[in-house]
Amino acid sequence: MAFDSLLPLWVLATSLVVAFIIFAIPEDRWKLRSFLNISAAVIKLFLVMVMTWGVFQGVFYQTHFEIAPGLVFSLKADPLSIVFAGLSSVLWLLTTIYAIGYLEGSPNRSRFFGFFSFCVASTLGIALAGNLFTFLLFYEMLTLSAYPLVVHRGTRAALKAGRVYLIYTLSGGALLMLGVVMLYLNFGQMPFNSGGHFQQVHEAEFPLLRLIFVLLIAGLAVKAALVPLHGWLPSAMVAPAPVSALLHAVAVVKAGVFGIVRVVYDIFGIEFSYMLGVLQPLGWLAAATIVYGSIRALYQTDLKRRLAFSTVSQVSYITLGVTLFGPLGTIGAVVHLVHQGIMKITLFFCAGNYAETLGIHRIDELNGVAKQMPWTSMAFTLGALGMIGLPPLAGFISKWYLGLGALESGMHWAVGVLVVSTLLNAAYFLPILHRIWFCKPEVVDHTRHLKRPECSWLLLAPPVITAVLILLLGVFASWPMSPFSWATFMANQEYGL
Amino acid sequence: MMTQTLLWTLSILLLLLGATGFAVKRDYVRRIIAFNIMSTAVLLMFAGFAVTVEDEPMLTGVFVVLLLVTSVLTALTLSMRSQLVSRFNLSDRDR
Amino acid sequence: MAFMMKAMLLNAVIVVALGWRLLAHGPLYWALLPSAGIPGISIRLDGLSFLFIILTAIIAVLSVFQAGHYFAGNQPIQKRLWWRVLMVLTGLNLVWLAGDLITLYVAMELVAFGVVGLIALGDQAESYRSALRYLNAVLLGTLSFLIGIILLYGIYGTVSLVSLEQQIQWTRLTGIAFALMTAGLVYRAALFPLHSWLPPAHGSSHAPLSALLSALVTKASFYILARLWLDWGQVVASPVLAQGLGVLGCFAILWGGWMACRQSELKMLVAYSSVNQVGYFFLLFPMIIGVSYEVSLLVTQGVMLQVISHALAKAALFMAAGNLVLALGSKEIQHLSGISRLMPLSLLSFGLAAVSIMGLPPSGGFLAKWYLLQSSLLSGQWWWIPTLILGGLLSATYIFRIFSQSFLEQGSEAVTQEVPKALEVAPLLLALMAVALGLFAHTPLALMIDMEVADGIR
Repeated sequence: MAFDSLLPLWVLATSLVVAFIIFAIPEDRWKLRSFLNISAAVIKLFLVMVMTWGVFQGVFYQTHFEIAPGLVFSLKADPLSIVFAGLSSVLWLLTTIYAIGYLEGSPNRSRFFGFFSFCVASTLGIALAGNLFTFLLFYEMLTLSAYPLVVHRGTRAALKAGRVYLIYTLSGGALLMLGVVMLYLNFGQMPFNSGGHFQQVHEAEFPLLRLIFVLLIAGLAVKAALVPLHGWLPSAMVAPAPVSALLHAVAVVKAGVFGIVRVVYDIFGIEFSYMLGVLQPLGWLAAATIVYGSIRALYQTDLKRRLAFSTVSQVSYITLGVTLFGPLGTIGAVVHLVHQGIMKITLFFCAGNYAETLGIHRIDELNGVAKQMPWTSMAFTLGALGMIGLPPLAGFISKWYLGLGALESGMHWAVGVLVVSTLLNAAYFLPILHRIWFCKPEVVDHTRHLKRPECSWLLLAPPVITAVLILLLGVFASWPMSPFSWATFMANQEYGL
Repeated sequence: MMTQTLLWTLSILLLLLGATGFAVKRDYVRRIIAFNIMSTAVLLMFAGFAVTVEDEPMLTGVFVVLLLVTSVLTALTLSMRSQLVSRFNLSDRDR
Repeated sequence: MAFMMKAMLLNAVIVVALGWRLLAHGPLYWALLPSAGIPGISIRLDGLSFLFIILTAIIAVLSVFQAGHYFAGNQPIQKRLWWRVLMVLTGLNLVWLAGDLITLYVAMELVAFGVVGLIALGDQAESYRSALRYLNAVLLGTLSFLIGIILLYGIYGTVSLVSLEQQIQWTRLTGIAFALMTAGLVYRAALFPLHSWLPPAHGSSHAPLSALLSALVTKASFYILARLWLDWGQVVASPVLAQGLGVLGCFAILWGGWMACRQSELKMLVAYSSVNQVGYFFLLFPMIIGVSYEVSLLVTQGVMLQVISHALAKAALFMAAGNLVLALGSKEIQHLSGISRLMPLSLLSFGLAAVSIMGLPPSGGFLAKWYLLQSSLLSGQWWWIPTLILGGLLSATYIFRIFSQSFLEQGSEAVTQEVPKALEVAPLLLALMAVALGLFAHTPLALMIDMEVADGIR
């Protein structure tokens, strides 16, 4: 059916076409632009929901055409892409609403929203890519389209951060490309396929495959912010809050991790990767990143920087879960991909609200803000507690399964890492919560009238919605169509259960 | 055979002379003279082959083409140089 | 301008006719009075030459359109402009089609005469000096090429490319002739370290003309070189010479990129970027000598794709840069602050073209890099890979210098002039084509390797 085979293309087109229209809209037509933005986001969400339902029913969506002999551009929807596409389309809608509120009245909005849509189109492309070549295509497009967002403020600091970002990501992209070329040249085309492609490969090829694995993972690890390639992420904090939210929760960082998931599960295959002996070192790297990120987060005084280092640590949970050989680890990893995104975006929305409404950037300025901004503070608290892994919040589910996965695979040290990291998470989040709720504000802001909402609903609704989601995803994790059940579905496929 | 050797020897000598001139001289008038010396050398070399290759229309044609091209190049160089010197009062030495 | 557009239309009709001929009857070799042996014009039409004819037609029509609007109201310059442009275009088409060495020589000189005229149109001391420097390259380059032709004629008694391809064999004198021709063409193609004439010549002329010069003229000498090597290289070229050209290409990539990073003028940056991009072309030679047939096909496709996407992208870059300079009234990069708000469309064209220059997807430049990486892996010549990767990063460095300046909000007291909207059309179209080449490369790639002259003529 034509609709079925073109659906992935439509999903991409919604934001891509809108991006070009937005570039053409004059700066002052903000109503038209907002309308277009939100309706595109809603349409995309709807299409993704249709696709989700279809995949659930067993429909196979695929679009592909040959760019050049042997190079196929292919989009398809499998459970893993549904998980990522669903996450990005939900969060895109929320972030768009938030960004419209956040950037109200600031200059260069046409450029911002144009590249913003471009960025989301690239992310969706990454989610729906059917082979490594297509993945690479969108991966690099994402690198480029996120740059104008990072430097959006146009200050010297922003430009410097942009430079750092480019140096890291473009170098990573070059390594990734080299890896993909080597893979194509030696082993032919690589459609993503659960179980991987190398069940019958001869032992003589192992060293080459190890080299390719290292190149691919090194390229992806830059965006995934694995130590020691994480340097760009904290400095990219100068970007406006919606951008940080997008970067950390959905777009750039997630694209890297998603790529790692794809490479391990759908190119090499988890069992083959285990045999190749590459999972263990990757696991250690992820563990080191988790601990390192948490420790660095402890010492940050700037709220957004602390959150950034927290991302470095939290995102590596996913990588760690990937390296745990066993279905439970896989479930933990994939479900954390979604849960971390929602929790982190809540935290960044809230940090943006604090900065926008009260001008608060440093943690020691947060004393008693809960009185002035109760809703934002509630949302922030839920996000932080979720990050720590408190039941019944979403973060608990993913940590629990990661822990079970570690036990199942016999990697007991990973449980230790999880425990240490949880303690560290608590150590850097609980003091903030304490300040927010229990400390006395140093200067009481009398200018605010209590009857008025704490800030514009455009800024308030997104974090409240995501905070509710954190709770719901935790409580109703086992419901059908929840991220958790998709992850289970995917894990069963991968391990052939 | 005698003629051919003579022509080629002469041609190589002129070529070396012209090349040295081109390399050493910095101003464009001397350079274009050097170039013309080299072009003459090339024509002589060609003439040397004319002794063995019997293909008259081809040879005459190529001769005419070469002369034409050389004179146009010379004219262009000189006109560019004179613009530089007379309109802008600049030295015509190549930096 | 109206007259030029008619000429372009005629050109388009001829291109379509040639394409039809090629499709229907395959490659074509045709010589004026072949029996009498007069050095008449002879023509060779095959996939590769047809591809370059299309490319020339596209870039020609867009740069004529651009120049028409750029020089609108400047009658004196228009009077001198068009016949020079036509001369260059005639010469270029003759280069793509030439079937014998003398025709090639005449075609190259025709291009050179026109180009000198175009550079001189800048009408400043700098333009005349650049024209003289370019003439230097022409004088020495063609002389060397000519000596090679004469030696070959002396040895084989023919200048026809088709007959030479059949007769040529390795002798010392043939080797010398081949080396001389290569050296001459290398000088005119502006390969490092013989590149110093190029940036001033391209940087100092008017933007639509720089577009024409850098997109097509630099390709002419390379095209001839590539054809000669593809035809005869297996017989007469030594691997050492081939590797040497490759190494020089690497130096060009690095040096051109480095110099582009250090320029303070926008158009000079774009001009040095040509030195950087031309370097990639020369990776062709080491990978067609002494390798498997498969590798040589792959590398030919990669390099030709690079040539074509560079032509499209660089024309777009020069035109867009010209618009920015026109709007700002300043050539300096540091005055670009805040331009993103004032000239978004030109900046977008610049950005899209830059994607191809940096070799990032989706673009012709990306596919070209993909093919080049593949062929260096497949041929076992892995030592080109670091340069390929580093070159991409260097080009990103100089491109993003411009973008980061244009995004800078501080000190944006840019005084801008109104730029006609018509000037923003051609760069956008060219940039879009460079990007689209990365998605629809089937036909160009197939044309590139369909180079064999029809067997009936042999």
